[in-house]
Amino acid sequence: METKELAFQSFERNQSLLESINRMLIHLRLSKKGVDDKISVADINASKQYISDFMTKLEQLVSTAQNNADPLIGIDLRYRNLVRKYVDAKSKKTQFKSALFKSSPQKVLELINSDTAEDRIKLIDSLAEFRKLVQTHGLSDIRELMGEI
Amino acid sequence: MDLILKRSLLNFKRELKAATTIVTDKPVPAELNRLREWILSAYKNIEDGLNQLEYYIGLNDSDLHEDILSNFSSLQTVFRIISTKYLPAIYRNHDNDLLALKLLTWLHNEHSQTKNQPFFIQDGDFSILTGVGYPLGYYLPVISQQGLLFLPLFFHEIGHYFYKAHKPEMDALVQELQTKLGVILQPPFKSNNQVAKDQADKAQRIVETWYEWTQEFFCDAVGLEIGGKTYLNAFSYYLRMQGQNSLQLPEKNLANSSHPVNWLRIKFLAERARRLGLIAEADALEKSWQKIADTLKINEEYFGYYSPKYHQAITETIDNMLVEAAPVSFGDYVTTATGANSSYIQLIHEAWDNFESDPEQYDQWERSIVRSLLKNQI
Repeated sequence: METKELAFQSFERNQSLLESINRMLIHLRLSKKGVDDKISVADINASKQYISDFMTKLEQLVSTAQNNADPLIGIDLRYRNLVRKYVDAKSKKTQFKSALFKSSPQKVLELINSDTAEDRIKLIDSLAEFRKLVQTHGLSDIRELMGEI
Repeated sequence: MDLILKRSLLNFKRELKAATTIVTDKPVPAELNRLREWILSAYKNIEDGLNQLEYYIGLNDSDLHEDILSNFSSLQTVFRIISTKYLPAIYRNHDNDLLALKLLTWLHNEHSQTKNQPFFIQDGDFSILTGVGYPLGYYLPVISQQGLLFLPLFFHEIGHYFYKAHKPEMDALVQELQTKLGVILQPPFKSNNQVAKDQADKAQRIVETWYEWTQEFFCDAVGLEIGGKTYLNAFSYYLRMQGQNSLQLPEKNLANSSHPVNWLRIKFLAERARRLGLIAEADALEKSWQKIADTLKINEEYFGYYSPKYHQAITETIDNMLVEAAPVSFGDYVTTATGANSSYIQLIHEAWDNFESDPEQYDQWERSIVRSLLKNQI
């Protein structure tokens, strides 16, 4: 794969993830206050599903990545980098403090299906921190595709 | 913050309107109509997203600012990608694009995966930009846009789209291959010393690199399947004079590289070509690369990234990937009857035959045939 093609594939993956995270975060924050979020139930469910599927796969990949000698197979170079960045971020305890980074992607799967106010806050914190990681990771793809001013 | 958000939103809407006007007003050939429709639909989605953001901004809730900024940035990135990668194909479309557009229209219509898919061509080195729900972007050098000889390189590029169209199945096949390579690379005895650790790290790099390499070998097989000997010729002529880097790369450049060494690709292509009955062509191909390697005094060396021990697993994987993608076969389009250039594949075969038999007169032949083609006489 060309570098540009690899960057585009990664851009698409990040973009879908960010769209789902942004939609979920706005929904969680506004519904907590009883304000109409103008997002359809179908869109919320699709975002939940996308995040859940991503976290399920991430959980599997992280367990491989944490065993240093095992290769990450069936995924492209940029995806492998994202998995290893997440593993690395888990060790930066002052920078990444949410449940997702203290625990594992499995935790998000529990939080996203919970109705308690406490879990909702933990989910917001986890998604907001993960969004930062994905945005930082995606920067090099966008630079590859569009260049810089 | 509210003022920054409101002003930025207004500016974004202004740019979106201007871009939409360009797409609506610019005349394009029929081959680009699908692209035009796709861009207008994508711009409409962005407009809907901006209207939703306008609502959130109007709530004056500072708790939402971070989410609004991220949403805004996300929409802006998509808009800029479309405007830098796709819009220029409409805005700067040129008569010279027509030959490649016609070939690609034919190629897309021959495959269920690409039928009705919007696409475009742009200037650049031969490559493709594919995405789920995005138009296919084919890049080719300006100099190749008006000729026939190197168009078969698109047959490799469309392989990348086939991979994406069948991604779950393809990824599973590649994962299976990587598992087999991992087993082959396992040391017979496990130990905990530094040498063993270095070996394990290298095996990890080799196995991971094969995710990208397998896709390239698959795309070469697709190129050969569709283009036959014309793909062998185009691929070889395009790459064989790049010097020693086409034949051997330092070990550090192989780790996590996007492409296998070209010489190794030639060897796999030649072997597959023989299986397709292109025996003389395969022999000539390998001989020409060996000659260049001998002249440059370079021997085959892949530093463990390739070994004959991997060969069977790789070939079986590529065979299975080809079954999944089901590209058309050049054999169904090539006829031995002279002057019966009723297909693009036949025409490109005749182009290479002409070039190889009389390179001096080739340009004249090509100009005349391309002129007829563009007037729809072929």
